[in-house]
Amino acid sequence: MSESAALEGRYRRLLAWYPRSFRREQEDEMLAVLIAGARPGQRRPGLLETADLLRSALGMRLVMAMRSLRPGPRSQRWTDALALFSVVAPLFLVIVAVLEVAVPYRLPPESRLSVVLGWHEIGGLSLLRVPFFDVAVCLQVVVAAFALLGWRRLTLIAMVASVLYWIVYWRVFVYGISSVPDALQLLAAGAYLLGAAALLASPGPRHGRHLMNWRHWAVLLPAAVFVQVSTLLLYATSPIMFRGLRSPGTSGYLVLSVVFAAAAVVLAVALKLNRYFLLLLAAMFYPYAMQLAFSGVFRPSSGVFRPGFGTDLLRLPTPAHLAVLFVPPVLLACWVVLTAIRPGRPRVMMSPGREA
Amino acid sequence: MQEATFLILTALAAGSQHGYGIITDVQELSGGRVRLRAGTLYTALDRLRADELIAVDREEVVDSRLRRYYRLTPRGSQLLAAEAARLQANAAAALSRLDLAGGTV
Repeated sequence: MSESAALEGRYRRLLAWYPRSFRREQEDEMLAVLIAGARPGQRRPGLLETADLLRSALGMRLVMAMRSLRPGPRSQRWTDALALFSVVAPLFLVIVAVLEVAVPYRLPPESRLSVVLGWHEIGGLSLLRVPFFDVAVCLQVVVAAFALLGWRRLTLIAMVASVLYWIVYWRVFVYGISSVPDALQLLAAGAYLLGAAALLASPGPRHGRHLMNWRHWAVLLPAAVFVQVSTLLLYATSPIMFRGLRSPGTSGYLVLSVVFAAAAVVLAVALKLNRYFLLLLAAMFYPYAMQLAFSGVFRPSSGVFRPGFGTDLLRLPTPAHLAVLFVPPVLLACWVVLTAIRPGRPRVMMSPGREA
Repeated sequence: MQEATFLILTALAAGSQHGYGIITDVQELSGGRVRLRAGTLYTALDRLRADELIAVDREEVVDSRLRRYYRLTPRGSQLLAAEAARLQANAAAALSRLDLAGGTV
């Protein structure tokens, strides 16, 4: 192999790091520039040249990913994902609530809740007798109904009302009795935060409703079961709630949680759901997943109440705790809105500095 | 505007150029101080095209190698002129202050 052919082959391998669409248009041209700039007899790209190409290629990938997420005709999949999410997120919360009521979990007789409070099950119809739960669920049903009907403004108003109700309920009625909000409320908060942004920035829930099909349900149903099982685990491992699960016990339910979560993820990938829609779903689940990850499920405690990262993140919420729980969905929601109101033509950076 | 961007636009101000031509021209314009590498150049060209400051003028095949020529768009010319005026005004202000302070330039 001649020196120039060897050099060209090595340059091509470096250029393979660039996005395919960029390579299709620019690879031959860039290769010509690289060959023209090579020293006579050069066989390998220089170290700085290699670093420059890799940095440029990775930067280009990032830029192209950002461009593809801009709203408008160039990113139909993004606006579709937002429209879809604005319907699916409220519906998902209703599915979770229905499962909670329809599939009660019978507590073992020796559990603390059974002994102290006389509660014999988690979930079930008795949930509807829990103060404020019925109102919270009704609001979730109203939000989902408005979304399904394609009423954007009313959905948005109902979402805001639902979140305000939750805040007032938690701050005014519950705080002092138990400062720990239900993990499902974190899920609802993430869903409504992103759902509101999606409603503002998308073609609307009516469009989203038309995009829904069986593939979404195939992912959402195991995801809802995962939420149910993992919520039960959260309760079961919480030192102030109760201890003890019926067979298969904590480990068994943990395995079940992982199986259903994995099933949802595998189905989402296998059924090739819109990846931006999956990004929104992931952000919606983030606060819930964090609460789960930092709970007693993965860090069995001695049963002594210890505030902080060793236990539930929202047990004694500080700004740092709230940031850990909500910064990713808040940032994504802000980005969704900003990209929607941003002018189509990007602005040129006007800052001093040297690029080369 | 970053210096490399300014120099690339300046290199195209007199007429269209291909990639390697821009690299050599920028080196010459900066007195050898700024030496663009291919990765940096094509990142900048991609951004400038997206911003509609430059456009592809024509393509040629020379020695079996593709050459794509770029030119300034009217928007690119306007921006370059505005940036040059800004730099000139800043330089004039700096020189004026240095004169007032009795410094040498």
